[in-house]
Amino acid sequence: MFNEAQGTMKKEQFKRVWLPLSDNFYRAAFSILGEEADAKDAVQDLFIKLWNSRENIDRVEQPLAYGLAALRNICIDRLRKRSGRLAKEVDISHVHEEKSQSMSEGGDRILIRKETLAMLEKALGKLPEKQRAVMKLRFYEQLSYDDIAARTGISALNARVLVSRARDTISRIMKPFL
Amino acid sequence: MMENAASDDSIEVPRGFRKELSEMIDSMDAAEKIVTSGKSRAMRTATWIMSVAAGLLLLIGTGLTIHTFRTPEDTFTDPEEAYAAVEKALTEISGKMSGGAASARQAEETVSRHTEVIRSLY
Repeated sequence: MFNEAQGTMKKEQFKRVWLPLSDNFYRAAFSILGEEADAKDAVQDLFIKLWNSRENIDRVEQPLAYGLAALRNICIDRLRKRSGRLAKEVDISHVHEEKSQSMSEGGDRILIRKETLAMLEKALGKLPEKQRAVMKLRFYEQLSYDDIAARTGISALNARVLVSRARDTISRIMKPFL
Repeated sequence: MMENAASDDSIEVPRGFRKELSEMIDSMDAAEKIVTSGKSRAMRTATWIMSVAAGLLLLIGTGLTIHTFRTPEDTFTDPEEAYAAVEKALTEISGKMSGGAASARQAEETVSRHTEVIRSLY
C-alpha cells in the first residue's frame, strides 16, 4: 500500500506551511473581489493549486509572497469571467504552470480539481454504509487497520476487504474523469 | 498592494474558513490515495531503475552470446585462398597421423616383446 508515514507527513507539513496564511490570503482576495463567496472560492482554488504542485514548491522561501502572486492571477481570472469580457491576452504563465505540473506528476498522480472533490463525495455517498465508514477512517482520519478495528468492532481483516472493495468502486467511478 | 490588504485586520475572515480549508486538504489527500496505486515516488523510481537495469542486462547478455559464437577469423572471402588453407591443414593432419601410425606400430612391437618376456617367466 502507500507509505503512510510519508503521506501523512506531506499533508501535515503542507497544512503547517499554508494554513496559517489562509486569513491573509482571504483578505487579499476580498480586497480584489469584494465579495465573501468569491473570495472564499478564490482561496480554495489557490489551495488546490498549491496542493497540486506541493512537491515542486517544497522549499519556497516566502510562502506568503508566493501564494499572493498565484492568488493574484486567480483573482484576475475571476474578474475577467465576472465581467464577461474575453481575456485579451492568454495567461501564458498559467498554461505553463499546469503543463509543468502534469509533467512532473508522472503517471501515478492525479491532478486535483474542485470537480474531483465533489465527485469523491458523490462516490463515497454511493457506498454501502460500512464501506463508507471504514473509508473515512482510513483515508480521512488515516487510522491504522488495528485502530479501525478498535473503533468499529470490525476485524482488521474485514476492514481491509471493505477498503479494497470501496477503492475499486470509487476508482471505477472517478477514473474516467481524471 | 496585496501585501497590505493581506495584513489588513479590518477585513473580517468568515468563521470556520480555516477549518473548511483543512477539511478540503484532507479530501484532496484522500482522493489521491484512493485512486492512485499508492506507490511513493521513491518506490516508483526504484522500480524504474530495476526495469532499466534488467533491460540493459538482457541486451548485454544477448550481445555477448552473439559475440562469443561468431568467429570471423575462421571465414574466408576468397575461395582459392580457402582451398589452399584446407589443403594445407589436411597435409598437416596426415603428416601427424603417419607419424602417429609409425609410433603406434613401434609401441605395438614393444608391448609384444615385453609380453613375451613376462610369459617366459611363468
